Amino acid sequence: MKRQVNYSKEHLRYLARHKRHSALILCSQLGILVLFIALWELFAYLGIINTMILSSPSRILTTIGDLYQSGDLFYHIGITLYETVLGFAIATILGCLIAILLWWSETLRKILDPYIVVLNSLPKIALGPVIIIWFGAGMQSIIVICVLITVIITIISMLNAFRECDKDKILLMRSMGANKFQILTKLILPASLPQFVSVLKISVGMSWVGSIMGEYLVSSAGLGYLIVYGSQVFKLDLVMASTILLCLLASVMYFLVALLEKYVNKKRGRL
Amino acid sequence: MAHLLELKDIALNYHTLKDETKAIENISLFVDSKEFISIVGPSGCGKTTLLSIIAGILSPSTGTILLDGSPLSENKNKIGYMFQRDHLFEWRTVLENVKLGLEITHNKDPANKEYLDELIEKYGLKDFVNKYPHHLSGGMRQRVALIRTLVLRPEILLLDEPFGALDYQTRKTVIQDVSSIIAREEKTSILVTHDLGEAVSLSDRIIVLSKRPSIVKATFKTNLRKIASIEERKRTDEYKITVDKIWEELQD
Repeated sequence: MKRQVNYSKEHLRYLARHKRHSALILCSQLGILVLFIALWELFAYLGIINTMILSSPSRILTTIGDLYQSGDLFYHIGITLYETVLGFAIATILGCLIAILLWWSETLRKILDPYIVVLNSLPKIALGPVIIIWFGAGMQSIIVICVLITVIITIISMLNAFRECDKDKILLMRSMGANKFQILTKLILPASLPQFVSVLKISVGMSWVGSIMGEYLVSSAGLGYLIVYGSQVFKLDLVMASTILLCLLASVMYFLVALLEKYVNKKRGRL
Repeated sequence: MAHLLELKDIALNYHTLKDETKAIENISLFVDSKEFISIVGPSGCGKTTLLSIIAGILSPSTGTILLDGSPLSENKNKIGYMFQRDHLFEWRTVLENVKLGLEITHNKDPANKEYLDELIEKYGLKDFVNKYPHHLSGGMRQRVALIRTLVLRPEILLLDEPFGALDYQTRKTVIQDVSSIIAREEKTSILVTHDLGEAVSLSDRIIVLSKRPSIVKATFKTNLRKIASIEERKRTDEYKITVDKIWEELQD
C-alpha cells in the first residue's frame, strides 16, 4: 500500500524540481537520438551524404523488413544470441570456479599469477587462428573465443572481490569455529554478490565482442557474419542494419543484468 | 581453587623474511569464573594479539593455555569473540545474523533456539528480527553482535575494543548496556581497551602490559562492579585513584 505523506511546500517544490530535471535528462537523451536519425534521413534524402557508404534510417528499416520477410532475421539473431549467451554463461561459471579455486589455495594463486597476467594482457583475438585449427571452423570456435575474451576478466575481478573481503569478518567466523568451506559459502560468496553483478555487466559487453569477433573470423551465419558479408559485397544497408540490431540486443542483455542488480540490491534491503 | 583460564609463559614471535619480531615476551595470567578483566597497555603492545591467542585464532610460539584445566585446543568453542566493529553481515537479517554461530557449529539443539529467542526478547530486538543491519542504530548493532556471541553460550567472552568504533553518546549507552547484559548472563569476560576509564569502570581486575615485547607489568583490583550504573562507578574515589595509578604505570 502506498504511504500517504503530507509533505511541506518546500519539499513538494524539491520533488517537482527533481521530476523536471529527470524529464529534461530523458527528453535530451531521446532528442539527441531523434535529431540524429532525422538529420541522417534528411541528409540522405537531400543527397548531401552518399547512401551507398552511409546508408539511411529508412534503408536500414527496409533491410530489416526484408530480412524478416525472408525469414533470415531471427535465424541470424538466434545464432549470435546463442553463441553470446552460451559463451557468457560458460565464461561466468568457469571464471567464478577458477576464482574460487585461486582464493582457496594461496599457493596455486601465486603459481598461476604470471600466467593470468600474460593471458589478461594478450589480445585474445590473436589466438583466433589457433582456436579455429583446434576447434574447427564453426560455432564451437566462436564460443571458445567468446569464453576466452570474457573469462579472464571474470577471474581477475571475482578473485579481487574475494580477497578484498573484510579480514576481521573472516576472523570472526574462525573464532566461531568456521571451516574454509563455511567461510566461502556464508561470507565470501554472499559478500561478493554486488561485485559479481558488476562483473556480469562487464562480461555481457565482452561476450558480444567475443561472439562478433569470432563470427568475423569464422562463420556462415549470425549478425557478425552479416556485417562481414555486407562489407564484402558493399551492402552498407546490411552492415548498418546488423550493427543496429547488435546495439539493441546488447542493450537488452545489459538491461537484464541491470535489472538483476536492482533485484539483488532490493533483496539486500538496500533500496 | 583452579582458575577458569590460565595462561602460562605465553610468548609469540612474528616472522618475516627480513626479521623476527617478539610481539609477546612472557605472559602468565589467570581469569576466574564470572570475573571481568581488562587488558590495557601502550599502542601496539600486543593486546589484540593476546586476545587472538586466547581465542585460538593465533598459536603462541611457546607456553600453554588451560581452560577448565584442559588445553585450549580442546575447548575452542567455549570462547566467544567480540570485535571492535560489530561485523554484522549486511545481507543477513538480524535473526540470520544472530544465528550465524549456531549454523557454523551445526547446533540444532532446541534449548539453544529457546535461549536465542529469550535473548532477542530480553534485549529488545524482537521487533527487529527481520530487519537488515543498516536499519539499526550503532547501539543496536552492537547488541546484535553481543547476542550473536552469547547464543553460543561461551564460558569466556573476549571483547576487543567493542566500543571503539562508536560515537560518544552511543558509546556511553552501549557500555552500560553490554555491562548489564554480561552481569546478568554471568559471563567471564576479558576486555582489551586503550580507554583506562572504560577498563576501570567495567572490570574486577585490570592487567597492564608493557610495551612490545609485552609482559604483565602490573595488576589492579577494583570493587566497582558492585555498583550497577557505570556513571556512578566513575564518580567514586576508587575509580579516580585506580585510573591515576594505571596512568602512572603506563608513563613509566
